[in-house]
Amino acid sequence: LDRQTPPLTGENESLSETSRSALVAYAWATGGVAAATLLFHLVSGELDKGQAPLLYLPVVIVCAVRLGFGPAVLAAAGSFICWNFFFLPPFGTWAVQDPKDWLSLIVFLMVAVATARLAAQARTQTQEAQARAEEARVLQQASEQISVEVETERILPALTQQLVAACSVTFCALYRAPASEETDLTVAAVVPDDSMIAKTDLSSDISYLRQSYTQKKTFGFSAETSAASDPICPPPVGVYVPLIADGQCRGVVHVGPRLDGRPFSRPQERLILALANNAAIAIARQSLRDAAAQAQALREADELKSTLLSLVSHELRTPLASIKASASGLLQDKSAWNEAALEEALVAIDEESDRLGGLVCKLLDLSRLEAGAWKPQWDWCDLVDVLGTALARLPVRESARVHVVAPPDLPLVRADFVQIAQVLTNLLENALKYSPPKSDVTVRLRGAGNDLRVDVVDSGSGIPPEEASAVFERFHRLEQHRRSGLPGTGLGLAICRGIIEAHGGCIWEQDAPDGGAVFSFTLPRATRFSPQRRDDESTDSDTEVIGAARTHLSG
Amino acid sequence: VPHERILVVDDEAQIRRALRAGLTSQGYDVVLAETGEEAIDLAAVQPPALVVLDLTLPGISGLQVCRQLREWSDVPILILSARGRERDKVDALDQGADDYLTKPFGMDELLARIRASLRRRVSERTPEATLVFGDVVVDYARRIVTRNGAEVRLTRLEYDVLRYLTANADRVVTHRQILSHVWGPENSEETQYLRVQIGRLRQKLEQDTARPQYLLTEPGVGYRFRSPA
Repeated sequence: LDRQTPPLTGENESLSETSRSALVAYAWATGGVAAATLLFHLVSGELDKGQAPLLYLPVVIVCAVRLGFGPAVLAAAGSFICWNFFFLPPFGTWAVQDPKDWLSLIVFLMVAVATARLAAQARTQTQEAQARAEEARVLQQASEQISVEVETERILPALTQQLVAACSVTFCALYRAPASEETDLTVAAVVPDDSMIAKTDLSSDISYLRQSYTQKKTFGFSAETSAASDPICPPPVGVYVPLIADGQCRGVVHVGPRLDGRPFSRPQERLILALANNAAIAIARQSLRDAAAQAQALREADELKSTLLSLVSHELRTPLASIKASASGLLQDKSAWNEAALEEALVAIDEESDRLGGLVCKLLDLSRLEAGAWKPQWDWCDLVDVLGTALARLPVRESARVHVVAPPDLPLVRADFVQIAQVLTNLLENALKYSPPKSDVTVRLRGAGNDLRVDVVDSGSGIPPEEASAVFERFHRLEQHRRSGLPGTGLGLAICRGIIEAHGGCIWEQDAPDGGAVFSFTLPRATRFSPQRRDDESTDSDTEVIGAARTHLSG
Repeated sequence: VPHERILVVDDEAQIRRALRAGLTSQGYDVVLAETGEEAIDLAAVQPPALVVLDLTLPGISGLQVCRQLREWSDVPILILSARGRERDKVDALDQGADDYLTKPFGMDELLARIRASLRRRVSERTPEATLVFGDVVVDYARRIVTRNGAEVRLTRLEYDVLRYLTANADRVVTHRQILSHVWGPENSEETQYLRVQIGRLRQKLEQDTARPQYLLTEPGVGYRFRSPA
């Protein structure tokens, strides 16, 4: 009962308010007639008694247009009486001397009432048209909102806000369908805020909320309330409208009672339904988009998995088979092995396990990069020193093929030493592998404006221009290399790109004019990224790395 | 034939097996520990000549073991660590570890490091007055460096860096260690000073600055002076 008291008093207040405004309208009508009478009295010397309607009729019409049909009828009746009483002989009595005057009076009354009716009708029509225009405007705004905004997180609060403004209600809350069977409806947007709803006791309304969701039914509109007036179950506070799109209930909107406590008008009900529809569409669209993104991610993961499988089946199995064959051979009767064969088997085991190790490292590096778990550890680096580290990793015979061109005063650069050394190692390995044996590979280091630039130039067959950017994609291998059976994973350059981009630099390939490929990259001399203190640097723990690897390997 | 005792601390059985086989075959006396706690107990009962210590251990970490061992022992400690964990290596080296190896490593490399660490322990007691590497002679007594008989002019900072690196020959020294020794503890983070000095030293003392033979870089960790073979 407590709950119903505030709206009821609200109703009383508003009733007295409407009756007061009606009284004012009738007073205006009375006053108008009195004024017309007075005016006619002043000029009656100049005018014929039969011309009184010239003054009374405008009053009736103005009343009809401005105040409505009721006051206009009052004005018509008043005019009828005043004309008769004051201006038709015998003056000051109800009697009418001349029967023709009776005719005038009757005709006047009929005309006045008919005119008032027409004018009042025009008035209500105008008002309705205005209301419809307002409704259309709100709807228009709402549909614009959902077409412009993409994020449901922003659409839903905006729609709620509009509902509150357009229907002048105390509050409005939008609930979204539960994410799973175990969870309940969740609040997606509330206007003005939770406190308003907290003040209103909604304990009995929870069942309306749930019913509205499960039964896809609307509660609280005038038609339903009267039908479902149940003495045990109190009527809902405001209205509950299910949000239905694609035949699925996406949530519920709860619109609180109007500020003036009166039931919603038909146009307002229509508006609430239309806005609820928009909210439902927005939610449905979001879930479609989510599903599409998920499907896309799954497809990509699937592709990655199959590429990885084919890579594993070849690049991992070949060295493994070689190691297994050599090692199990060595376990056989040792007298059968001569010195040279023994050496060969041992070298095979050593080299092939290095190859396996290299592949595992590359896979890990790439997954760490892609998961953002391998962030640069900023430090001042001497690129000659970095290049030296890369050269030291190569077999001595291969390293000797590399010519280094660097000015003696090359400035330091802010970068991750280990990562850039990895980039140079990968680029050098490729350059040496894909160019004729014993041919030279040149590394040029130089300052270029605010950057340091590195070129790795080989004398191989170059890269077809249409593939120049694709070579940086993971698992991408040139068709010619794939066909020629050269071992390779298509991971090295993807790692290079990942590292250089994390440094805010660029990496690209352009063939040399006389053939051969030139892989270049730049590093900003003073990094755009704020240099971090060592203590703040994230240390990538094993779990992170393994976690990152798993997401990429198992998709 | 060395009969020195080596304590191997690693939680992975395969690594313990491989190291025991490889080290025993070279005449070392191998003691195995699976955890840090076990390693500390064993080191107290049977003091080893050298400890090979994996950094990622269940229970107390390798770093902790390193720190605890250093409280009462100056036994050489060789760290084994996973790839991409430079910070762990630097921490362990700053805690007093002598050297590190990144898994997977070759037995040849491990044996070379073990020999260098054991040798260094002996040579530390008898500091040399001069050092010869390649065509360079360093005369510590007179603070003179010559190359092919001609004097090489080194700045004070260059000489101090060279002196510190050669004094710790065949051992990794971290950036922090060199910086705080040469520039003072308040400059222990200013790696750019060090980069510049190392670059100049190489230009003056190495044949090929991009392929240094003696002043080696330990990526992400520090530097190492490699004694001539």
